[in-house]
Amino acid sequence: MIEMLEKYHDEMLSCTGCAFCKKSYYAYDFPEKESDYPKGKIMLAYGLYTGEIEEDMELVREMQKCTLCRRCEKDCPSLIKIADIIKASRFHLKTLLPEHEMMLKNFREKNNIFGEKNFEREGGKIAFFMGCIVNREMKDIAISLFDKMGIDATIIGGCCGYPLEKIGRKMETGIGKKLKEKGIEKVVLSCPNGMLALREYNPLHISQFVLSMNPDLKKGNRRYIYHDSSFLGRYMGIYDEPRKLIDSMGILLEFTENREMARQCGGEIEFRNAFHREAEEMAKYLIKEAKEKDAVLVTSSPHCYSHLKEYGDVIDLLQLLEENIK
Amino acid sequence: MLSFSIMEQIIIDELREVVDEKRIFHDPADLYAYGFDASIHHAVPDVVVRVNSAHEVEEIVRIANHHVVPVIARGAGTALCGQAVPINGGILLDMTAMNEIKEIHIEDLYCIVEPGVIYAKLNDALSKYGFFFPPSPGSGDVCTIGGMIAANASGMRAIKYGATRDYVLGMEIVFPDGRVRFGSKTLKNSAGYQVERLIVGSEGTLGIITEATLRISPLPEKRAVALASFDNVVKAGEGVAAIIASGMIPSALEIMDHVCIQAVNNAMDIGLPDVEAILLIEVDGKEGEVRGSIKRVAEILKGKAKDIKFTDDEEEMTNLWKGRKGVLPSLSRYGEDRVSVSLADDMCVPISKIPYAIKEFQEIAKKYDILIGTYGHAGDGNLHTKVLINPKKDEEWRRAEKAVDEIYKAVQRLGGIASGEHGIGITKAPWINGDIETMEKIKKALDPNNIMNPGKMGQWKGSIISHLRYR
Repeated sequence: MIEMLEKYHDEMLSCTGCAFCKKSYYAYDFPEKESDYPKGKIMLAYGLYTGEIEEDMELVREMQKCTLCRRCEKDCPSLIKIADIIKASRFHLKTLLPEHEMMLKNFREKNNIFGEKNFEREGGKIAFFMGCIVNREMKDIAISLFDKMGIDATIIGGCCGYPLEKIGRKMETGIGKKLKEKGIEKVVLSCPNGMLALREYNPLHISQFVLSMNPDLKKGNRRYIYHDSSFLGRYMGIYDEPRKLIDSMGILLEFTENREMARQCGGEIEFRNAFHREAEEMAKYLIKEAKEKDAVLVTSSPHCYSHLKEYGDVIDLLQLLEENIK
Repeated sequence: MLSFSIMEQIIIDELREVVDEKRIFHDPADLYAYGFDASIHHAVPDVVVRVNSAHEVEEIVRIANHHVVPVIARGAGTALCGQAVPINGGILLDMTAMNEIKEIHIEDLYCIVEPGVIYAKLNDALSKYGFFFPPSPGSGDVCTIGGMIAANASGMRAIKYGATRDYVLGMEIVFPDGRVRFGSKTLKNSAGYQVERLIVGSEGTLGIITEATLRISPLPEKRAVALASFDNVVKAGEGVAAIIASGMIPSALEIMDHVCIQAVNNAMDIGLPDVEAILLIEVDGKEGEVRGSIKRVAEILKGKAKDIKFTDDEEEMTNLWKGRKGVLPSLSRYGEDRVSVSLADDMCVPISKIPYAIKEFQEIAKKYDILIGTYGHAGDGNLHTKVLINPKKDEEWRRAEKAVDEIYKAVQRLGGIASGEHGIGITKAPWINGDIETMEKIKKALDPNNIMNPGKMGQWKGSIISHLRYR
């Protein structure tokens, strides 16, 4: 696995150590030491690569204590691929955190990171890839949305593998084979993690798909504030479609830091499972601004939704569409 | 000085009596991560303590002095010359939890802060009253006030507003023999030695700052910016001299050489003019005055500059600044296996000598077959060079070291000094300014056991290409 970090050797050398990547972290109380910041993690990855430090549980914890959201990269004057370096270093680690071991065990036993039963349904050539979190949080709503649009969607369940890839374990999911066998022509997801896992199949986010159908949506005067998912936004550049839809259903407001500069909410399942305190602080930071602006927070990722709803008035775009589509 | 490894357990036990166990770090990964700042150097401390109070600092320094082990204070780790790198091991104090803005007194023009306060956060707090703490280092979004004081940091607005030292009114400091206070809350002080100002720029080698009283200034109402391009650096230098000689004091007067311009144009699609040098001039002041001032700058530069643009529109100003702000990333991403390393990064020459310094640096770069981009604060003679080498090749480091030596000899010949705002640490130790014997006498008087950040500044002997963080 040293090859993974070898790929980023020059990238690690290009980091000047300026510490500008700490900037967005200063809004939080949880960083307690150097390796809690991106710079510290780059240096640890470098130490791992050069063999100057050896793996121990503290190192494993520190390297896993990052959502890979790429927000810090927006403050990096040297444009270092910080998240890629951290992710590569995780493939170098032999040990997993207990919370991550559990996710892996559940995947192996049930093809679901929660160890829950996956819902599947046969249908037409358009498939909705459900994924573990939608399956748990809003399965019926997702099905109802497709039904309301009059689309006989094939529902594919199971784990996309991306949360496991983020912790440094690449697993065979068999999704590609399944898509081929079912003759699927278009894959739609509401989970950005799943989109990244299935990127070779050119998936569409639910916002892109619904918008392409020119939907008739009920317009109300509720105030909504849109939270850009790091993976939908910074990883895939999808910013406008969710906004256009929300704007068609209510009054769209923005966070002070939005689009490319949007803050991570801490909702990535593998992160919040292991780092509850940090994830809670990130969530509360966003919920506070939503409350100050007297708006319902709208998510476009089930990771964000299932986390943020614990702290405030939150709705996922999938739910909002299902409620308002005529 | 006793070996820390022999003393380790005794010291850690004593530290545990002062600080909660959870704020004492001795895991190898933690120690490794704390061994970096933003310099080329790396070394691992024996233990890290995240201190919460002046009392804790005082007790830890007492323990260190008793056992004669090094103590190194560290803020955000943005130092560029190895100031926060614990080259002799010892106890590294993470000061970032001491981050309280204790008092703001607008009517008396001062504030009192702990050393771990982030510069930008202090200015956020002051801006509510229409005031600011002006030194404006480039790392201002992340660096701490303690680090700024230790390095006498400043930035592009120093031409008008000065450096950190100009704003330090008072200080609480922990010396090896205890905690003391110097200075005042008053704007003037001729009541004895101003030890608080001696501590500014001392890089943790005399004591550790646990509180600072800082002078503050009203925020300017408005800014305006001009960008002027020049066929050669001498003409740009004449432009700088003409602005300064006019009696006007810009709030920033920045220069970029051809290497920087090329790097920005290669990396960013902003179309900087392909010339030998660019000046960026900013003026600030009252709403109705700045447009007149920036027009005056343009008139002064007429005949010298090839082209001049100026504006007081916020969006256009941002566009004009883009090139200057893009220098660092563009040089960092230069390619050809080269990375930007912090060598000879900060020197100060008399203002009129700037073009000659840049020309000499370019000739030295050619001679040693390395790439050097020069930019910086032309208005106060403070230049920054970025040396681009392949850090995996020892031979390139050796050539760079020779080039740096020649650069500083050229700087001295031109009447300049080794650092304007980044400090000395290890990387500039051979070129420290002033009488080292006198400095050592002061050091011995205040720190007889040499526990405070030992081996830095005048104490560093040998090659600067040492304790390299690059493998």
